[in-house]
Amino acid sequence: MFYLSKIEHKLPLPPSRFVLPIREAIHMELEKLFLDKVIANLGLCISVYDIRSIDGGFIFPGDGAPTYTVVFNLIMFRPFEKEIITARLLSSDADGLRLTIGFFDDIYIPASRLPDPNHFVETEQKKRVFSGQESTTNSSSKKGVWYWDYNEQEYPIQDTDVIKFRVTNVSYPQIPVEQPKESKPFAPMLISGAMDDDGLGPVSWWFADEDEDE
Amino acid sequence: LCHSLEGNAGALTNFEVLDFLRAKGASKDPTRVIAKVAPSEYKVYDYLVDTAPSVHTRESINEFLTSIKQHDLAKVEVLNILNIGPAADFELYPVIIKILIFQFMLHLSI
Repeated sequence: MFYLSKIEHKLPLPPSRFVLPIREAIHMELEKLFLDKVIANLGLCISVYDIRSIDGGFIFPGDGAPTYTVVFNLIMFRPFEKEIITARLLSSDADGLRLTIGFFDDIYIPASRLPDPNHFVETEQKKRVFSGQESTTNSSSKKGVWYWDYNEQEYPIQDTDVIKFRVTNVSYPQIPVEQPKESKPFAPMLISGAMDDDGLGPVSWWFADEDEDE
Repeated sequence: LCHSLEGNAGALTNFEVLDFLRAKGASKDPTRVIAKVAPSEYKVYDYLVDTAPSVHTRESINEFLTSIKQHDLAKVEVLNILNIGPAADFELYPVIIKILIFQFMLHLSI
Protein backbone atom coordinates (compact mmCIF):
# COMPACT_ATOMS: atom_id res chain seq x y z
CA MET A 1 0.00 0.00 0.00
CA PHE A 2 2.81 2.40 0.86
CA TYR A 3 6.16 2.77 -0.88
CA LEU A 4 9.25 4.90 -0.56
CA SER A 5 10.11 6.88 -3.68
CA LYS A 6 13.51 8.49 -4.08
CA ILE A 7 13.24 11.86 -5.82
CA GLU A 8 15.61 14.61 -6.92
CA HIS A 9 14.27 18.14 -7.05
CA LYS A 10 15.66 21.60 -7.78
CA LEU A 11 14.16 23.66 -4.99
CA PRO A 12 14.21 27.47 -4.72
CA LEU A 13 14.19 28.36 -1.02
CA PRO A 14 12.26 31.58 -0.29
CA PRO A 15 14.06 34.14 1.95
CA SER A 16 11.28 33.87 4.55
CA ARG A 17 12.68 30.42 5.43
CA PHE A 18 16.23 31.68 6.13
CA VAL A 19 15.58 32.01 9.87
CA LEU A 20 15.30 28.21 10.14
CA PRO A 21 18.12 25.65 9.96
CA ILE A 22 18.65 24.70 6.30
CA ARG A 23 17.48 21.09 6.67
CA GLU A 24 14.29 22.08 8.49
CA ALA A 25 13.56 24.88 6.01
CA ILE A 26 13.94 22.54 3.03
CA HIS A 27 11.83 19.88 4.76
CA MET A 28 9.01 22.38 5.26
CA GLU A 29 9.26 23.58 1.67
CA LEU A 30 9.13 20.00 0.37
CA GLU A 31 6.05 19.29 2.48
CA LYS A 32 4.37 22.39 1.07
CA LEU A 33 5.19 21.23 -2.46
CA PHE A 34 4.45 17.50 -2.36
CA LEU A 35 2.16 16.63 0.54
CA ASP A 36 -1.29 15.34 -0.48
CA LYS A 37 -0.40 15.63 -4.18
CA VAL A 38 -0.46 12.88 -6.79
CA ILE A 39 2.70 12.26 -8.80
CA ALA A 40 1.90 10.34 -11.99
CA ASN A 41 2.95 6.67 -11.82
CA LEU A 42 4.25 7.09 -8.26
CA GLY A 43 1.02 7.66 -6.35
CA LEU A 44 -0.30 9.99 -3.68
CA CYS A 45 2.33 11.64 -1.49
CA ILE A 46 1.70 10.94 2.19
CA SER A 47 4.79 12.40 3.83
CA VAL A 48 8.43 13.40 3.41
CA TYR A 49 10.30 10.43 4.87
CA ASP A 50 13.84 11.81 4.91
CA ILE A 51 16.29 14.06 3.08
CA ARG A 52 19.27 12.21 1.60
CA SER A 53 21.35 15.11 0.31
CA ILE A 54 21.32 18.88 -0.18
CA ASP A 55 23.56 20.46 -2.82
CA GLY A 56 23.97 23.87 -4.39
CA GLY A 57 22.41 26.94 -2.86
CA PHE A 58 23.32 29.14 -5.81
CA ILE A 59 21.43 32.34 -6.53
CA PHE A 60 20.84 32.51 -10.26
CA PRO A 61 20.75 35.89 -12.04
CA GLY A 62 17.39 37.59 -11.68
CA ASP A 63 16.33 35.14 -8.97
CA GLY A 64 15.48 36.22 -5.44
CA ALA A 65 16.16 32.88 -3.79
CA PRO A 66 18.92 30.27 -3.59
CA THR A 67 18.25 27.05 -5.51
CA TYR A 68 19.18 23.75 -3.91
CA THR A 69 19.32 20.30 -5.50
CA VAL A 70 17.68 18.01 -2.97
CA VAL A 71 17.52 14.21 -3.00
CA PHE A 72 14.85 12.88 -0.65
CA ASN A 73 12.45 10.00 0.01
CA LEU A 74 8.69 10.38 -0.05
CA ILE A 75 6.13 7.99 1.42
CA MET A 76 3.74 7.29 -1.43
CA PHE A 77 0.33 5.64 -1.34
CA ARG A 78 0.30 3.30 -4.31
CA PRO A 79 -1.58 0.02 -3.82
CA PHE A 80 -0.27 -2.97 -5.72
CA GLU A 81 -2.45 -5.19 -7.88
CA LYS A 82 -4.30 -7.91 -5.91
CA GLU A 83 -3.77 -6.06 -2.61
CA ILE A 84 -6.61 -6.34 -0.10
CA ILE A 85 -7.66 -3.02 1.44
CA THR A 86 -10.35 -2.12 3.96
CA ALA A 87 -12.50 0.90 3.11
CA ARG A 88 -15.89 2.47 3.73
CA LEU A 89 -18.74 3.13 1.34
CA LEU A 90 -18.90 6.69 0.02
CA SER A 91 -21.69 6.30 -2.52
CA SER A 92 -23.57 3.60 -4.34
CA ASP A 93 -25.26 3.80 -7.73
CA ALA A 94 -26.27 1.56 -10.63
CA ASP A 95 -22.71 1.66 -12.03
CA GLY A 96 -21.22 0.25 -8.83
CA LEU A 97 -19.68 1.50 -5.60
CA ARG A 98 -17.42 4.36 -4.68
CA LEU A 99 -15.29 3.76 -1.59
CA THR A 100 -13.13 5.90 0.67
CA ILE A 101 -10.21 5.23 2.99
CA GLY A 102 -10.36 8.69 4.56
CA PHE A 103 -7.34 10.17 2.83
CA PHE A 104 -8.24 8.89 -0.65
CA ASP A 105 -11.73 8.85 -2.16
CA ASP A 106 -11.34 7.77 -5.78
CA ILE A 107 -11.86 4.03 -5.36
CA TYR A 108 -14.42 2.45 -7.68
CA ILE A 109 -15.90 -1.04 -7.70
CA PRO A 110 -17.79 -1.59 -10.98
CA ALA A 111 -21.11 -3.45 -10.80
CA SER A 112 -19.57 -6.32 -12.78
CA ARG A 113 -17.05 -6.96 -9.98
CA LEU A 114 -19.58 -7.16 -7.13
CA PRO A 115 -20.47 -10.53 -5.56
CA ASP A 116 -22.74 -12.49 -7.89
CA PRO A 117 -25.74 -12.94 -7.97
CA ASN A 118 -26.73 -9.44 -6.93
CA HIS A 119 -29.40 -6.82 -7.38
CA PHE A 120 -29.65 -3.07 -7.00
CA VAL A 121 -32.49 -1.20 -5.30
CA GLU A 122 -32.85 2.45 -6.26
CA THR A 123 -33.58 4.67 -3.28
CA GLU A 124 -35.61 7.29 -5.18
CA GLN A 125 -38.13 5.00 -6.83
CA LYS A 126 -37.49 1.89 -4.68
CA LYS A 127 -37.21 0.00 -7.94
CA ARG A 128 -35.34 -3.31 -8.21
CA VAL A 129 -32.77 -3.72 -10.94
CA PHE A 130 -31.18 -7.17 -11.24
CA SER A 131 -27.65 -7.65 -12.52
CA GLY A 132 -27.55 -7.74 -16.30
CA GLN A 133 -30.84 -5.83 -16.51
CA GLU A 134 -30.81 -2.21 -17.68
CA SER A 135 -32.74 0.52 -15.91
CA THR A 136 -34.54 3.19 -17.93
CA THR A 137 -33.59 6.21 -15.83
CA ASN A 138 -30.43 8.25 -16.28
CA SER A 139 -27.41 6.44 -14.78
CA SER A 140 -26.03 9.45 -12.88
CA SER A 141 -29.20 9.87 -10.79
CA LYS A 142 -29.63 6.23 -9.82
CA LYS A 143 -28.49 6.19 -6.21
CA GLY A 144 -29.36 3.14 -4.20
CA VAL A 145 -28.23 0.01 -2.39
CA TRP A 146 -26.56 -3.11 -3.77
CA TYR A 147 -27.53 -6.50 -2.37
CA TRP A 148 -25.76 -9.83 -2.63
CA ASP A 149 -28.27 -12.67 -3.03
CA TYR A 150 -27.00 -15.75 -1.24
CA ASN A 151 -28.89 -18.76 0.20
CA GLU A 152 -32.21 -16.99 -0.38
CA GLN A 153 -31.02 -14.10 1.78
CA GLU A 154 -30.19 -10.52 0.89
CA TYR A 155 -26.93 -9.06 2.16
CA PRO A 156 -26.83 -5.25 1.74
CA ILE A 157 -23.74 -3.13 1.15
CA GLN A 158 -24.28 -0.14 3.44
CA ASP A 159 -22.26 2.92 4.39
CA THR A 160 -21.93 1.73 8.00
CA ASP A 161 -19.91 -1.30 6.89
CA VAL A 162 -16.18 -1.78 6.75
CA ILE A 163 -15.62 -3.18 3.26
CA LYS A 164 -12.75 -5.31 2.00
CA PHE A 165 -11.87 -5.17 -1.67
CA ARG A 166 -9.10 -6.35 -3.96
CA VAL A 167 -7.20 -3.79 -6.04
CA THR A 168 -7.46 -4.64 -9.74
CA ASN A 169 -5.97 -1.52 -11.29
CA VAL A 170 -4.36 1.82 -10.41
CA SER A 171 -4.48 4.41 -13.19
CA TYR A 172 -3.30 7.99 -13.65
CA PRO A 173 -5.60 9.71 -16.17
CA GLN A 174 -4.25 12.46 -18.42
CA ILE A 175 -5.10 15.97 -17.22
CA PRO A 176 -7.92 17.16 -19.48
CA VAL A 177 -7.35 20.34 -21.50
CA GLU A 178 -11.00 21.27 -21.14
CA GLN A 179 -13.67 19.83 -18.87
CA PRO A 180 -17.41 19.87 -19.53
CA LYS A 181 -19.34 22.01 -17.04
CA GLU A 182 -21.42 19.17 -15.60
CA SER A 183 -18.55 16.69 -15.24
CA LYS A 184 -17.28 15.55 -11.85
CA PRO A 185 -13.94 16.95 -10.58
CA PHE A 186 -10.84 15.53 -12.25
CA ALA A 187 -9.15 12.75 -10.27
CA PRO A 188 -5.39 12.41 -10.97
CA MET A 189 -5.34 8.87 -9.58
CA LEU A 190 -8.03 6.19 -9.80
CA ILE A 191 -8.19 2.82 -8.09
CA SER A 192 -10.41 0.09 -9.50
CA GLY A 193 -11.30 -2.82 -7.29
CA ALA A 194 -13.24 -6.07 -7.07
CA MET A 195 -15.37 -7.73 -4.41
CA ASP A 196 -16.23 -10.94 -6.27
CA ASP A 197 -14.37 -13.41 -4.07
CA ASP A 198 -14.70 -15.22 -0.74
CA GLY A 199 -13.75 -13.04 2.22
CA LEU A 200 -14.31 -9.79 0.31
CA GLY A 201 -17.15 -7.30 0.73
CA PRO A 202 -18.55 -5.98 4.02
CA VAL A 203 -16.73 -7.64 6.91
CA SER A 204 -20.05 -8.04 8.78
CA TRP A 205 -21.25 -10.56 6.16
CA TRP A 206 -18.45 -12.97 6.90
CA PHE A 207 -18.38 -12.65 10.67
CA ALA A 208 -22.16 -13.10 10.76
CA ASP A 209 -21.69 -16.23 8.65
CA GLU A 210 -19.04 -17.54 11.06
CA ASP A 211 -21.38 -17.01 14.03
CA GLU A 212 -24.15 -18.94 12.27
CA ASP A 213 -21.76 -21.84 11.58
CA GLU A 214 -20.92 -22.10 15.26
CA LEU B 1 12.67 20.51 -11.88
CA CYS B 2 11.68 17.20 -10.35
CA HIS B 3 12.52 13.68 -11.41
CA SER B 4 12.24 10.27 -9.85
CA LEU B 5 15.54 8.51 -9.17
CA GLU B 6 13.86 5.36 -7.85
CA GLY B 7 10.08 5.04 -8.00
CA ASN B 8 10.10 1.98 -5.79
CA ALA B 9 12.83 2.39 -3.19
CA GLY B 10 11.13 -0.18 -0.96
CA ALA B 11 7.70 -1.15 0.31
CA LEU B 12 6.53 -0.04 3.74
CA THR B 13 4.07 -1.93 5.90
CA ASN B 14 1.11 -0.08 7.39
CA PHE B 15 2.77 -0.50 10.79
CA GLU B 16 5.92 1.29 9.61
CA VAL B 17 3.92 4.23 8.26
CA LEU B 18 1.88 4.41 11.46
CA ASP B 19 5.08 4.24 13.52
CA PHE B 20 6.59 7.04 11.42
CA LEU B 21 3.53 9.27 11.94
CA ARG B 22 3.52 8.54 15.67
CA ALA B 23 7.20 9.49 15.85
CA LYS B 24 6.27 12.75 14.12
CA GLY B 25 3.77 13.50 16.87
CA ALA B 26 0.48 12.15 15.55
CA SER B 27 -1.88 10.86 18.22
CA LYS B 28 -5.55 10.62 19.14
CA ASP B 29 -5.05 13.69 21.34
CA PRO B 30 -7.71 16.34 20.49
CA THR B 31 -5.17 19.20 20.59
CA ARG B 32 -3.82 18.35 17.16
CA VAL B 33 -2.54 21.82 16.34
CA ILE B 34 0.51 21.39 18.59
CA ALA B 35 2.15 18.53 16.66
CA LYS B 36 4.10 19.17 13.45
CA VAL B 37 1.75 16.92 11.52
CA ALA B 38 -0.13 18.07 8.43
CA PRO B 39 -3.94 17.58 8.21
CA SER B 40 -3.44 15.14 5.30
CA GLU B 41 -1.02 13.11 7.43
CA TYR B 42 -3.61 13.01 10.22
CA LYS B 43 -6.13 11.54 7.76
CA VAL B 44 -3.68 8.71 7.05
CA TYR B 45 -3.06 8.30 10.78
CA ASP B 46 -6.81 8.15 11.50
CA TYR B 47 -7.21 5.41 8.88
CA LEU B 48 -4.24 3.34 10.05
CA VAL B 49 -5.00 3.62 13.76
CA ASP B 50 -8.29 1.78 13.17
CA THR B 51 -6.62 -1.13 11.37
CA ALA B 52 -4.82 -4.24 12.64
CA PRO B 53 -1.26 -2.75 12.50
CA SER B 54 -2.15 -0.32 15.31
CA VAL B 55 -1.76 -3.17 17.82
CA HIS B 56 1.40 -4.61 16.27
CA THR B 57 4.87 -4.18 17.72
CA ARG B 58 8.28 -4.58 16.07
CA GLU B 59 8.78 -7.75 18.12
CA SER B 60 5.47 -9.30 17.03
CA ILE B 61 6.22 -8.49 13.38
CA ASN B 62 9.71 -10.02 13.57
CA GLU B 63 8.24 -13.09 15.25
CA PHE B 64 5.63 -13.38 12.50
CA LEU B 65 8.23 -12.99 9.73
CA THR B 66 10.35 -15.74 11.27
CA SER B 67 7.44 -18.16 11.63
CA ILE B 68 6.02 -17.47 8.14
CA LYS B 69 9.29 -18.40 6.38
CA GLN B 70 8.42 -22.12 6.42
CA HIS B 71 5.28 -21.49 4.32
CA ASP B 72 7.20 -20.17 1.31
CA LEU B 73 4.87 -17.25 0.57
CA ALA B 74 5.52 -14.43 -1.90
CA LYS B 75 6.65 -11.08 -0.46
CA VAL B 76 3.40 -9.40 -1.51
CA GLU B 77 1.38 -12.08 0.28
CA VAL B 78 3.38 -11.58 3.49
CA LEU B 79 2.98 -7.79 3.17
CA ASN B 80 -0.75 -8.21 2.61
CA ILE B 81 -1.15 -10.47 5.66
CA LEU B 82 0.78 -7.99 7.82
CA ASN B 83 -1.40 -5.11 6.64
CA ILE B 84 -4.81 -6.73 7.07
CA GLY B 85 -3.97 -8.75 10.20
CA PRO B 86 -6.44 -11.58 9.54
CA ALA B 87 -8.51 -12.57 12.57
CA ALA B 88 -10.24 -15.54 10.91
CA ASP B 89 -9.31 -18.09 8.24
CA PHE B 90 -11.74 -16.70 5.62
CA GLU B 91 -9.78 -13.44 5.65
CA LEU B 92 -6.82 -15.32 4.18
CA TYR B 93 -8.72 -16.67 1.15
CA PRO B 94 -8.41 -13.55 -1.02
CA VAL B 95 -4.76 -13.10 -0.02
CA ILE B 96 -3.17 -16.48 -0.56
CA ILE B 97 -3.91 -18.16 -3.86
CA LYS B 98 -2.07 -21.30 -2.68
CA ILE B 99 -4.83 -22.02 -0.14
CA LEU B 100 -7.44 -22.16 -2.89
CA ILE B 101 -5.23 -24.31 -5.13
CA PHE B 102 -4.54 -26.69 -2.23
CA GLN B 103 -8.25 -26.95 -1.42
CA PHE B 104 -9.05 -27.60 -5.08
CA MET B 105 -6.38 -30.34 -5.32
CA LEU B 106 -7.69 -31.87 -2.10
CA HIS B 107 -11.21 -31.82 -3.54
CA LEU B 108 -9.98 -33.58 -6.71
CA SER B 109 -8.17 -36.27 -4.72
CA ILE B 110 -11.33 -36.98 -2.71
